[in-house]
Amino acid sequence: MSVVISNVLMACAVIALGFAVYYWTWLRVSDVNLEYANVTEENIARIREKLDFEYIFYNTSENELTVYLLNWGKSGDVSLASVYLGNVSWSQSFYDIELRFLNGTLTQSLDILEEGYFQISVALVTNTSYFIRIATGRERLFATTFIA
Amino acid sequence: MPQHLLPNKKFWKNSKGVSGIIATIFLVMIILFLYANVFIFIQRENTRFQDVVSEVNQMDIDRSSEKLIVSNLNYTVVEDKVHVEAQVTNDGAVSIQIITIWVVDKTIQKYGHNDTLNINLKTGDTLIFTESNALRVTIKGSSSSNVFTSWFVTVRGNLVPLEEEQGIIVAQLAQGIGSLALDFEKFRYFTYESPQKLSNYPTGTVSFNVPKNEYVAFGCYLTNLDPSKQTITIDSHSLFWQPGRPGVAEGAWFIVNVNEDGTINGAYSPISLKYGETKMFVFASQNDLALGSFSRAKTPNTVTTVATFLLLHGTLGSTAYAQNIPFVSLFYN
Repeated sequence: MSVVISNVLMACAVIALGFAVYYWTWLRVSDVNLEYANVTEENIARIREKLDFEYIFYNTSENELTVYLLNWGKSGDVSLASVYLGNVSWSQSFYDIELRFLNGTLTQSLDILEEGYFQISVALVTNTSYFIRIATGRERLFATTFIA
Repeated sequence: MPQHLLPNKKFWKNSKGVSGIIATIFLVMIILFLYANVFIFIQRENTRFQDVVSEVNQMDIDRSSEKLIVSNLNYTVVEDKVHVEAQVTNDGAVSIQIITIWVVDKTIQKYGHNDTLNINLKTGDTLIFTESNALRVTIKGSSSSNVFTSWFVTVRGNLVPLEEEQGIIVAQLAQGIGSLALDFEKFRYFTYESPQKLSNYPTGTVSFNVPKNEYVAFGCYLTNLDPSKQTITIDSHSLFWQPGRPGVAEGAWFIVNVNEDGTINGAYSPISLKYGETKMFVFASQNDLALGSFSRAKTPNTVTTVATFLLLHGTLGSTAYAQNIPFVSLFYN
């Protein structure tokens, strides 16, 4: 009798342990799938980001650069992480950019087909060519050149 | 039947080890199931990613397929509102949605936009914006005699400049005598408010009658029509030249940089002109500012008509460039 009971207990323990291992493995597999899905989703959102420079204007009297942008991509919530401005002999990075809609309202990001602008106080040499690079919150880079 | 070909009854009667085989089969099936789960999921995600890559590529292709032809372009200003009249044809392979128009008044260096357009043009469609249908953009202080440039922004992020198609005559002219074209109708002169400050800048006086024996500067609008579409940079050796003749003194007005308030800079930094771009160049200094200091130049003290030339010097892209434009004739009085 005791042999039967011990066998049953042993079988139950093995089955329970098997289920526990299976469950743990299943959770790990789900985590891997979820992580992969998140990475894919981030990459998709990144490559769908498209920003266009509508107009860049440098106000010589106020030393202020105004950059107008259009989000023409398929990703919304496009924020600006930093702006890199320079020419062949000089460059400077700008953070904490205040992005605004065309009507002047402050915003954190541009959704699909929204237009906005930001301003940078900087002394540029007029009639000189500069490049500007914008890094978005998703770490995409958009660049163009302009003459101040 | 031989004995060795008969089923081995002993084997089937002895069930020892069967549970191990069944457990192994289960284990393999579970591993296969988990692996297949991960594999199929990753395959599906990769397919989704590839679909998005294709979609983004198609967006870029569609974007580069957009083509608008603009003709009959005209700007008028009514109460600080610039009316842009034009005929616009979608000559591309895809439909176009225009969402914004930007207008820059190059004379007063101000700009404005209208982001309420939402105009749809199917392939081959033509829209005429004229009179009451003219596109309106507010620019305070603008005037109809000013020089404008403008462009549309499409929903695909294209910037479409509103400029007349450069006809073959202009193109041949640009190839024949140089890459810079001048605008006769916008020629102007400036008098001085102080020895180094122009009065009424940048409006000046649009006229070919210039006061004699007077300190003046000249404003000329030039457009880059270079067939190779390179940027032209004008250096300090450029000047507005009026040859002398018996009884009329020769005059030279070298190129200068002028600030928004009309003050002339003592030093000159080269001015760049991108393809299709129009800018006003001001000629004011007796001396080449790379070789001497600024000194304003005076018109001859003779009532007469003179010929003038624009002698331009600089670079086209990265190569040297120079052009001599037979310019306007002036009447000093």
